[in-house]
Amino acid sequence: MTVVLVADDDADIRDLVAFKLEQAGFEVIAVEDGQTALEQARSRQPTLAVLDVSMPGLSGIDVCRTLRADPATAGILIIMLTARVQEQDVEGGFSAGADDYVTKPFSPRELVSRIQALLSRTRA
Amino acid sequence: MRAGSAPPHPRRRTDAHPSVARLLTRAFGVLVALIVACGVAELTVVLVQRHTVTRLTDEVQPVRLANARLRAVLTDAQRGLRGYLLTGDGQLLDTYHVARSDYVLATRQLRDLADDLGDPVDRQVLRADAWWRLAERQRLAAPRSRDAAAYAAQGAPLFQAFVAANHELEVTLAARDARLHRRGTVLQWITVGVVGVLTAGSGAIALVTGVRTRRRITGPLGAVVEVLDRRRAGDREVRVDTQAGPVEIRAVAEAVNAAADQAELIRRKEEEVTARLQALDAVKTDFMSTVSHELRTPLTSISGYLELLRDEETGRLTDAQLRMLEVIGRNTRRLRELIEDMLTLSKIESGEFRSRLVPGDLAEVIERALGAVGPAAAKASVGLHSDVRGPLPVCCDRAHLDRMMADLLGNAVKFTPADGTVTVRAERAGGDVVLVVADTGIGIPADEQQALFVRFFRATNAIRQAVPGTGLGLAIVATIVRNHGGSIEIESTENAGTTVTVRLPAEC
Repeated sequence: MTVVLVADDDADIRDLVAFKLEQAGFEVIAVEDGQTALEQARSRQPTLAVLDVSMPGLSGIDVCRTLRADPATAGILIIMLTARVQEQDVEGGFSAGADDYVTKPFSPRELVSRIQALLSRTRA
Repeated sequence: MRAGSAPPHPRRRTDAHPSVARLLTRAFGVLVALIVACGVAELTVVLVQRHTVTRLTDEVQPVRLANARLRAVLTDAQRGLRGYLLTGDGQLLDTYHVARSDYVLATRQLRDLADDLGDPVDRQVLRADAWWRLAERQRLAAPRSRDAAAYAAQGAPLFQAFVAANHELEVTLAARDARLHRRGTVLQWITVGVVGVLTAGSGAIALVTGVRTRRRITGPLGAVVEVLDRRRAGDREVRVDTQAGPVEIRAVAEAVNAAADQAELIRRKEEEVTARLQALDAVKTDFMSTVSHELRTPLTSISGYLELLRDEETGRLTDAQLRMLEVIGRNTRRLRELIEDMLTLSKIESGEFRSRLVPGDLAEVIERALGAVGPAAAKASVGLHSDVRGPLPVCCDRAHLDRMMADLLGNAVKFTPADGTVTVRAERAGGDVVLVVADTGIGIPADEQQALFVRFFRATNAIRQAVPGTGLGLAIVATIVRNHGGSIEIESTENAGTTVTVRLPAEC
C-alpha cells in the first residue's frame, strides 16, 4: 500500500483527508505540525506528503524545503494545501519544491484524483 | 505698607535696542540739525561780510571823500587866489569865490560825516579858517603888486598847515579803511574755515549716522531673511534671535518663529497621521488575508464532510436527507462566493487587483459561461438565446472575463421571472468588441441606476422580491471592465427588462 503523510494543524481537516485517503486505499500517517511531519517523513519514508501551508511553528513551505534539501527525503511527492491564494503564496510553494497545490476549500474527491494523477505520472 | 512710596519707574527698555521709528527719527534729526547748522553758518558769513562792506561804504569811504573834497576846495581857492594875485585874471578870482562858497558846504558835510572824529576835523577847520581870513585880505590886494607877492608868501605856510591837518585825517581814515579791510579778510578766512569744517563734519556725521542706522535696521532684518532662507532650504530647527534689534523687527522675528513652530507642529502631526494610515493599511491587508484564511478553513471541513455524506461513503441516505444536504451545500457555496467576492473587493481597493492582458477570444468565454449557467436557467424556466458572430479577438485576462460573463449572465437569469428570456449578442464594431446581455426581468428603478456599481448596493425591487445577492458583483464587474480599458452601460425599464452593454478593445 502506498504511504501518504498528511500534515494539517486543523483536526477536522486532518481527519477528513485521512478518512478519504483510507477509503481510496492508501495508508495514512496524520500529523498535526511541521516538526512531527519531518520526523515521520524521515522514519517512515512515505511516497507522497500532503502539507498544509500555514501551520504554527514550521510551516508547510519550511517542511517542503527541508525535505527537498535532505537526499533521504528529496524524492517524496509533495502537494500543498493552502487557504491563501495570493500569487506569491502559490509561487512560494512551487519555488520551495512542491509538485502541486490545492486551495481550500477543496473537494476531497478532487484531492484524491490529483494524488492519483501525480502518482501515475511519476510511475510512468 | 509705607505711605507715600511710589512704584519705581520701569526702566526704559528701548535704551539698549531703540525701535526702528526712533532710529530713523534720530538719524533724520541729526541730518536736519546739520543742514540747519550749515545754513546758519552760511547766513552768518553773509551777514558778517555785509556788515563789513556796509561799514566800509557807509562810514569810512564817505568821510575820506568829504575830507578830499575839503582839501580840493581849499586847493582850488588857493590856486585861484594866487593865480589872480600873480596874473590879475578875473576868472581865477571867480574860481576863488566859487571855492569860498563850496567851503561852507564841504565843511558841514565833513563835520556831519566825521562827527566821531572830533579833533582832526576841528584842527583842519581852524587852520582852514585862518587861511580864509588871510585870503580875504589878500583878495583885496591889487594883483601883480608887491603886496600880492608878499601875501602869497604868507598864505603858503597857512595852507601847508591846513594840508598837513587834512593829510593827518586822511592818514587816520586810510588806516581805518585798511583795518576794516584786514578785519574783513580775516573774518572771511575764518568763515571759510568754519564752513569748510562744518560741511566736512556734517558730511562725516551724516555718513556715519546713515551707515549706523542702516546697519541697525538691515542687520536684524537680514537675520530674519536668512532664517527664512534656511528654512526654505530645509533646515527645520533654525529660529530667529528675538533678543536683539529694534522692537518692530523683534515682533517680526517672533512672528516668524511662531509660524515656524506651527509648521513643525503640523508636519509632525502629518507624519503621525501618515504613519498611522500606513500601519492601518498594513493591518487591513494582513486582516483580509488572515480573515480569508480563517474563513476558508472551517468552510473546508463543512464542504468536505458534506461531500463524503452525499457520496454515501458512510452509509445510505434517504431522499429527504439528501435534499437537506443539498440545501447545506447550496448555502456553503454562497458563503464561499461571498468570501471570494470580499477578498476580490479588498484587492481592488488596495490596488492589487490587476488583470493580466493577453490576446483571447470573447466567443469562447461566452460559450463557456452559457454552458455554466444553462442548468440554473433551465431550472428557473428562463430561456437562453445567443447571437454571437465570432471569433471575437479581445485583449483580455481570461479568468477575469470568465468571472464577468458569469456575473452578467447570472444576474440576468436571477432577475428574470419564469418564462422570461435572456439574450446574449456579441460582434465586432470598429476597433472594439461589443457585448450585449439583455433580459426581460424585473428591471432597475430609474432613480437607482446611477448607484448600481456601488458595492453592496441592492436595488429596492430586488430586495423586495427577495432575489438573492450580495451587491458586490457589479462592483467587481465594473473593475474588470475598467482594467481591460473598456466601458459598461446599463439601460433598464422597471418590469420590462435590463440591457447591459460592454465594450472591450480588440487589440492589446
